[in-house]
Amino acid sequence: MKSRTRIVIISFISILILASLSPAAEYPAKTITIINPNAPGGGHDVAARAFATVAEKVLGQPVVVVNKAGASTMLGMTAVAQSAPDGYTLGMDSTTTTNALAWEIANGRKPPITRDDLLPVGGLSVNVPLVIVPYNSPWKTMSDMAKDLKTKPNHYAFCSGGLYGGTHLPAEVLLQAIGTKARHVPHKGGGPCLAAVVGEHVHFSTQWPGTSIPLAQGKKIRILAVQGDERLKSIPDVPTIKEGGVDAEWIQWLGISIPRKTPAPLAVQIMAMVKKVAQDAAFNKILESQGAEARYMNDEEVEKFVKAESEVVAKIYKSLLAEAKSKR
Amino acid sequence: MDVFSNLAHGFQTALSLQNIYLCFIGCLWGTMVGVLPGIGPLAGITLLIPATFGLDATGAIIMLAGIYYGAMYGGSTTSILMNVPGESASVVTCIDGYQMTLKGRGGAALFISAWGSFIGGTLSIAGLMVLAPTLADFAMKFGPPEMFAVLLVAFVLLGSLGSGSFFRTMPMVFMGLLIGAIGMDPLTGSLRFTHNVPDLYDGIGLLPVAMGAMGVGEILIATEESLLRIIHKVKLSELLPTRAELRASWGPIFRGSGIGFAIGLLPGSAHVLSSFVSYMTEKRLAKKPDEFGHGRIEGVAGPETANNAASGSAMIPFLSLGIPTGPAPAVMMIALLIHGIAPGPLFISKHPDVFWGLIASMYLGNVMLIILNLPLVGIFISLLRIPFRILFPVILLICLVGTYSVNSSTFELAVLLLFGILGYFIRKMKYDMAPLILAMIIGPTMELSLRQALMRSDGSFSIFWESPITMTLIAVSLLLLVWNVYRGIRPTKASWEKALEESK
Repeated sequence: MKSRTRIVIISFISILILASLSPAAEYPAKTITIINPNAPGGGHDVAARAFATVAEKVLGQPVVVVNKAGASTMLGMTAVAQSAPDGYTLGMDSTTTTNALAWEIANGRKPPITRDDLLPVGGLSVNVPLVIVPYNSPWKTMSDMAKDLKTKPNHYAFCSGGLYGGTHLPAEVLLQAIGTKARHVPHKGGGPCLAAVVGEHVHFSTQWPGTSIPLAQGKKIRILAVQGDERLKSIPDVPTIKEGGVDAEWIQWLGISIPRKTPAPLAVQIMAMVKKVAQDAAFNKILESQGAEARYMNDEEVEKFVKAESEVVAKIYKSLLAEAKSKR
Repeated sequence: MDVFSNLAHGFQTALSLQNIYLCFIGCLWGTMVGVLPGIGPLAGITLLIPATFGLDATGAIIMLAGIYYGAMYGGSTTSILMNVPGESASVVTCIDGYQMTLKGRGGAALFISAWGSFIGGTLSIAGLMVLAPTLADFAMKFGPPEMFAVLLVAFVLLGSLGSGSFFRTMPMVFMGLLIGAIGMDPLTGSLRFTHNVPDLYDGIGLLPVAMGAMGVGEILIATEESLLRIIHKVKLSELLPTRAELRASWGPIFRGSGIGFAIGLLPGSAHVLSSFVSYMTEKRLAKKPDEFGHGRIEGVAGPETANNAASGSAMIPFLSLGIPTGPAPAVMMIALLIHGIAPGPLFISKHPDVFWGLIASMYLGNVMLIILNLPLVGIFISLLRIPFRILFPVILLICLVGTYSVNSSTFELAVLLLFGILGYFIRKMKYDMAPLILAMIIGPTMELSLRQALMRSDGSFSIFWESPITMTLIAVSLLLLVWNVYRGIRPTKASWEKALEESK
């Protein structure tokens, strides 16, 4: 009885798989799901929903966003990597996932997936952190700050939106470039951390442009440097970090990934779709409104980018963990 | 005068046909997501963000804000009627609200909670309108040490929550603290009690626990009492609160407005904290605190007012500085950004039409909500006439769907059911679930702010007596603690009589 049920189920599944695989030319034939590995709300969620709205027009099929948050994107991206490679499940991939996987490896744990299980099919935007200080801070330039940080290691405090997360890493990159240490105060999310900078509870932070620039315009904080490779159009007076005398570039990417085992012709089709969405003006406007910079990268560029960032992140985590161990 | 002319302008914006319509849609949708357990204001707003792409910024924010404060109206419904918290701010409403339903006063509880929500909401908009920029700067002064001191007061209050004795409350508090400790340590990243299960890295979600322990637990208890359990058939006249109930509610409503408004300014889980602190205040002030937990109207009126007042003031840091201190304002901020408006310190002066239009629409929305919600009381109460053998499976289903819809996580379904079973046994042993859930909220936040403060001061505790706010709050909590101990050992009349009896 049991084995018969199993046969029935297996044959059913195989029919389903065959049915979804064979007419690759007719892709897409049904609703496409984008798994957003972050909680509802937040910049990635907006990007995913905006992507879905435009992709619907491009593909002529409904595109829905499903939030599957947890373990800093690992749960959601695991679901993406393990989904059927039929092109009907896309994932919102980003630096956050790279960080989460690198963190697991640095701690000697085996993450449920690796970067090799995900095939990036296109980058959509990059996000450039800004080095911010309270408005009344004595630091007026990046070199002031670097000098003080260097002379008094472990004296100054900085905040982030979460330990080892998107706004912690740029600060660590900065500190390593200067060759010093500072006290890290993690907060729950970017909002509380910004509040800590405005209220002068910490000395500096690295935060995203979307929320930081209006605060700087309202004279609540000052922006000392842009941590990217070029100045931002919206704040042309603020120098890049390299111009400020510190070589600590760091940017974050956001894009779409699918399971690595997806057949190549199908993957090419999806890449073309992503590229088309990435060229949509309204979509880019939404991305830029969040303070991100719309920058399309093709699959090879993303792979290269991810490889480079994985190495940097792994190095930082290793040194942070070694430091934590030596304190114990 | 400036405020009034601005407000008049705002009403001109808000009273355009399109904006009235959007405000109504927002309020309606908000009430719905509030009523449905699991789906809170956050998910409600997020789902409708794509719908605002085609609107102007004012219309978009009017609609999304409507969802936010509308959800605070709806949240009480399932708490009062079914002991299932509609969203996390309504956990304390369950305690007395559900007892009132069992006594046939559910209609009155719903009525008062809508009425209180209206007053709290309206007063807090007035506060937001007049004081926004001043208060925002003040709120920024609340760093980790101040936050810790506030939570310390809340924590001491926690000991006297619940209908049972101190010794029946504390085990639940400790259990809540332990559950709250699960997950990644926010300051070092080490994993606590996760056993390498990635689902546990972010800790155990609050809503599955609350809905399981209170809602599912209640269903299990009810099945045991055989399916014959009868709730008073409610007559129409009984829907309305009695004069005595109305009179008893005035104090809690006004105090709740103040408490909610003040706590809403704090970053983090402001709503939950505001309703809880309001409840505890009412219990302290009551002449017969022992009656709390057995269906006192004050236990509904205060908290339900407070969470609405908090939803108004929680928007202050977001509107006047562009710093969202909670998840729901964060999503609203994103919606504004999409429309090319960056909320920040210059937002009110640069976009007065948006700001004042929003303020005016919030007054309007609160009126709409009370008109919308009062007739709903009758409808919701009539749900109780559905036989339990049908109603309970439906509630269970709603709990399951609501939980799954948030994170599409089957793990959270397991949590819901597990805590349902746990809740059943705990209730059988006459312990209360509410202290457990509140400890789960307060514990981790308190730990985080304590350690943030110490990180900032390099391990020196002096940071706690550097600021007058912190010092006052810590003194208050110590006084409360001493009072608690005194009350515990103080000879009461009953114990005297007992002692006399025994000495004879």
